[in-house]
Amino acid sequence: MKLWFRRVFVGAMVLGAILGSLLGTRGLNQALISTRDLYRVDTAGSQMESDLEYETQESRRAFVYALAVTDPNDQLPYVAAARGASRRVGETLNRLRMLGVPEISADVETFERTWNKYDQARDQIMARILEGNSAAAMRVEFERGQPAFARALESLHALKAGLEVRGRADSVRVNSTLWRSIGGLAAFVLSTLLILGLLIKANRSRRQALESLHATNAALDAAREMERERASILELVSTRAALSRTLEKIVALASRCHLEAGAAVWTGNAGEAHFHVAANLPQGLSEALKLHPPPSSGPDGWEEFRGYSGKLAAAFGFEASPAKELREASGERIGMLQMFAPAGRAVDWQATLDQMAQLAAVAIENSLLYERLAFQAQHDTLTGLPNRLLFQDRVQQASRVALRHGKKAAVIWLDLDKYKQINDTLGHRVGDEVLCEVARRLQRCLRQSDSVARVGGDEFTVLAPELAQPEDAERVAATILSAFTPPFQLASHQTNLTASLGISMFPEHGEDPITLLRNADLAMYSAKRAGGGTFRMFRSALSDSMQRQVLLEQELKTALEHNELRLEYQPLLDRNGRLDGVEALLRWNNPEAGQVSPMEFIPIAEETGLISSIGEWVTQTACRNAARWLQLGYDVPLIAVNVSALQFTDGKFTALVERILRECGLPPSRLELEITETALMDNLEGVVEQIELLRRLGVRFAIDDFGTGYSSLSHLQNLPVDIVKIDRSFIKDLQPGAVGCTTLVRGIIALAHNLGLQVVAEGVETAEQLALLNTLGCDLNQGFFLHRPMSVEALEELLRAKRPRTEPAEDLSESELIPSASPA
Amino acid sequence: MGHILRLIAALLAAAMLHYAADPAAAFAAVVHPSNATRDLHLRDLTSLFEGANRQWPNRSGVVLVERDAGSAPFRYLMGRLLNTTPGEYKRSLQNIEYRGETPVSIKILNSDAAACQYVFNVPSAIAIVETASLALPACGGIQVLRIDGKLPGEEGYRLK
Repeated sequence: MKLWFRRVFVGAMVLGAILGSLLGTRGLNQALISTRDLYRVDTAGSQMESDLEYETQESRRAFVYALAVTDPNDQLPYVAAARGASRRVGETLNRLRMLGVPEISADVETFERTWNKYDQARDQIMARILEGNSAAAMRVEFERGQPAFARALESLHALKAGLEVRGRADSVRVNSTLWRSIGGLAAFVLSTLLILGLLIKANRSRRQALESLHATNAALDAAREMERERASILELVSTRAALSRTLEKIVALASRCHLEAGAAVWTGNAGEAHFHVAANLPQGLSEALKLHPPPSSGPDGWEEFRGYSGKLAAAFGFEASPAKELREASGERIGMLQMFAPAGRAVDWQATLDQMAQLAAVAIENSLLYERLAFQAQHDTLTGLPNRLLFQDRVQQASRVALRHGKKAAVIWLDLDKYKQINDTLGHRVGDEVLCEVARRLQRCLRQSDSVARVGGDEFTVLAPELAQPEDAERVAATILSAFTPPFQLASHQTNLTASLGISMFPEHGEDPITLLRNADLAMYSAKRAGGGTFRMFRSALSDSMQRQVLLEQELKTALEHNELRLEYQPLLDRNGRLDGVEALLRWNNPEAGQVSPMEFIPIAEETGLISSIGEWVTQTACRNAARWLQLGYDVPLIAVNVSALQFTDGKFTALVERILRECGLPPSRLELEITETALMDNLEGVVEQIELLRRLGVRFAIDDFGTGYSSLSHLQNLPVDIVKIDRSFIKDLQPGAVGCTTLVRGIIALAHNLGLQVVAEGVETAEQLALLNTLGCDLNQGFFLHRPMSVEALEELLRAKRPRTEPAEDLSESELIPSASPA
Repeated sequence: MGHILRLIAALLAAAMLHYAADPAAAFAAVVHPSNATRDLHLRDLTSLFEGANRQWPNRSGVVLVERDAGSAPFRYLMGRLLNTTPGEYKRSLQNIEYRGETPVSIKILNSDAAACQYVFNVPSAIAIVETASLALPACGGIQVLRIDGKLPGEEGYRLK
């Protein structure tokens, strides 16, 4: 029903009720008035009639009695009675008059008049009787009394008739007003009933609305409570509270939402899942759920488990909800949640189950995340082995145990031999496979109580606790080495790998993890220097040299960043003493190690792989300087830069040189790259191709330290080089009279010339050597006798003094430069 | 014996007191309100009660209302107003009747209230009652006559 219609209807009903009540009340009032009038008139009439009859009797009795006695003392009471009756008649007449009934007023007056005449007659009669004159009294009675009484009686009858007429009229009026009032009251009652009905209905609606509101409020309260619980649970999660505590709070939500409901949580993936926590369940059901083995890992594992838990719940008079799988963001199953309630309760599981499942999934996922992070913080991600941090902690614990039990413990540092080559040649993926296989082999060959850790790229450490003597540690090291005997099958490759091991003993070689590890590392260096594939026990004598080695290795890693490297240049002069080229020589000045010889740090750089970045820096710096000199207008000689064979191994060297030349704006023809004979011959196949590419650009190549390696002279004709640099060991012994050496140098020079190669003599330190070399036809000479290595500034000074130019780089043609790379 | 004599002496004293008019008491003559007579001379009143005058001016016969013997009004009537005794008074009234004259109508009532009530009902009646009884309800509707122009309580009123 529309609201406006209801309002109009209610208004009409209210109006009807008011009108009905007014009409009814008015009619009832009129009926009451009429009834009252009727009653009054009837009563008055009856009273009048009875008064008259009484007076008649009194009058007659007084008359007879007065006649019967003679003593006035006896007569007077009768006289008084007669007078009293007369007075009451008068009073009744007055009451009748006061009724205000117009229909009988004339009759009242008539009756009063006739009655007064009778009263006068009676007074006369009574006076005669009192006087003792009975005869006169009788005479008056007959003459006046009786006629007056008869007239009074007649008028009384007329009055009664008038009263009856009035009574009938009042009855009719009463009836009509009664009917009207009944109609009005009926309307009032009907309207009131309708209003009451509407009010009852409205009240019911209001009550329903209130109940609904209360229900909504209760739901809102529950939602707020749930939200508070959610917030507190999420706070527990964020504060890394114990998972059990958090899950207990989550499953407790079941009973908060449904008083008699409980819940249980299993954590883990199928096959590994286990009962974690339950709340508000019978003890037996909880224990039974706990004892049940985890669901199988198959696709239907969880489904089967749900069926089982449902049957179990039924045995305890409970009903199980549909199980809710818990999954982490990646979709991985991390658990299951199920609600239980006494059978027969109509519990709406879904909303509660969803909320609980969401919270439980967050809590478990968060817990797993923390576990993973904690694991990652202490483990190597590639091999899963403990990292240095955890290893140190285990060494600490092992040393305490050893101290307590009077035992020893060994820390073994293991470094793979030539692992870098595998990594560089076969790629990092294969390198990672190697590391994983090494980790597996180490774990297999060691005792349960031993610990293996990966502490660096190809560095592993082993903790062998509870040893009786150092020989036990050596046996462990031997076992480890034997684990490397079988070849490593790496994808399509099969390779043999060895390792260098260093051993330090607790407590002899250190009492703290850091010292033990450092000494094991130093011992490992000793093993490495011994050729690898073996182990060494730490000795104090090793300490100094090895420590310097370790120091240099560590410092070299930051040398570039700290600008500790610089270049010096040693000029190369032709037979006429003219500057024909300069060789860039790398110098390292370390604050702690001082001036370090390239002979000392280049092998370290090669071993640690730093040679690539250092080589790039050298090439780039030399080219940039040469280009600057060109810009300054100097007659820039050939710039010779030493290259390690390892720089060629990653296959990117060609592109690197090309890029540097382009960026610096140096013509490739001004760059000479020197590679040692040994390095070249070791990697002939891989290097030659790249050399060819660079030579095509215009870059010149020289064989450095020629004569010290194992190359066959016959190979020389096949090497893609332009220059042969005779090793200083030949030049040192070159002097007049030294026939063998002179013959050898002459041969090299002749051979080179025949092959069209230029020859440079290194290490020229005397005038005799220079003269002889000139005689032998050596093209260029380099050595202290001619020029010591000099700084950039000194070389620039030299360039300025020897060949000043007026027009900068005017003879450089565009074709000499490597064009810039196209934007594409 | 002495006791009996003392008792007889007390009864005689009481009787003497009973028949002696109270010298402090006052009396009133009352008539019907319709009676035209408002004032009487004391001798006319005496004449009415002696039976010498037996009609009112309207020629209606006078009805004398007297109290019973022994009452104060009767003693006053006998001792002070008529100066006679009850026996003498009765004989004088009988003489009137023996003479063939209209007999005197006398009504003896046993209280002032009854006397008043009688006067109220009989227009030609006249009664002598104590002035103290005028306050009774029964004496409400009657007329008190002036005696020699004086009403009871006024200076010089003679019915006392």
